Amino acid sequence: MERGEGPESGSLEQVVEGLRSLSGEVESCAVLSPGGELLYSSHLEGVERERVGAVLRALSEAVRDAARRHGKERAEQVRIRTELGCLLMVSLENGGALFATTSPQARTGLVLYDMRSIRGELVKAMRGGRG
Amino acid sequence: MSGRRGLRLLLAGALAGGALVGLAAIGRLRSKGEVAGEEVEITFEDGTTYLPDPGSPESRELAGMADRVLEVGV
Repeated sequence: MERGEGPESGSLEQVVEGLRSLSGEVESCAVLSPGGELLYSSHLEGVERERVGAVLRALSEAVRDAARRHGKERAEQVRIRTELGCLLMVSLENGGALFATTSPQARTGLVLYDMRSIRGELVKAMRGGRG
Repeated sequence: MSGRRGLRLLLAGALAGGALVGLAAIGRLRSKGEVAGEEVEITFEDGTTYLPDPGSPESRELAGMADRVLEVGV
């Protein structure tokens, strides 16, 4: 599997791998930068990765619009369950977002808890440092 | 004659049973469809939660985007 790119990719990869080992129900993960760049994806380079990045950006924007319509600053987390599975999103303090997919039957509350618990570490990894 | 009556009863029972099984299957499909497409939950920064109505354009749009990535994973 191909992961992130650039000098910080190792630490970002470690944090996301940590989530996957912490939460066995996570099937795939992605990280969007504050600017909407796909920093990490479970996908190899190519069309699928680009497509996934575009859809996640659109989803983030739609969620941001929903927050604005309700007079809120931002969405803290999103859970979308369909017959294909669950797509989970957790906002990061720097404006980025962490996404994960699970099966439709997954205990998404636990997965979201695990996703929230790695947010700080993830933001540090995105900055390229641990301090 | 009693043999024919018995056969009729058997056929009628089979038809009624088949109809019941069919209705139950339709019910299961309908309820599955309602749950399947449209469970969206957005939690805002202040802890309040927003659940768009299942079937609403907003819910369908978000679920549609989710399906596009769920097909291949993120």
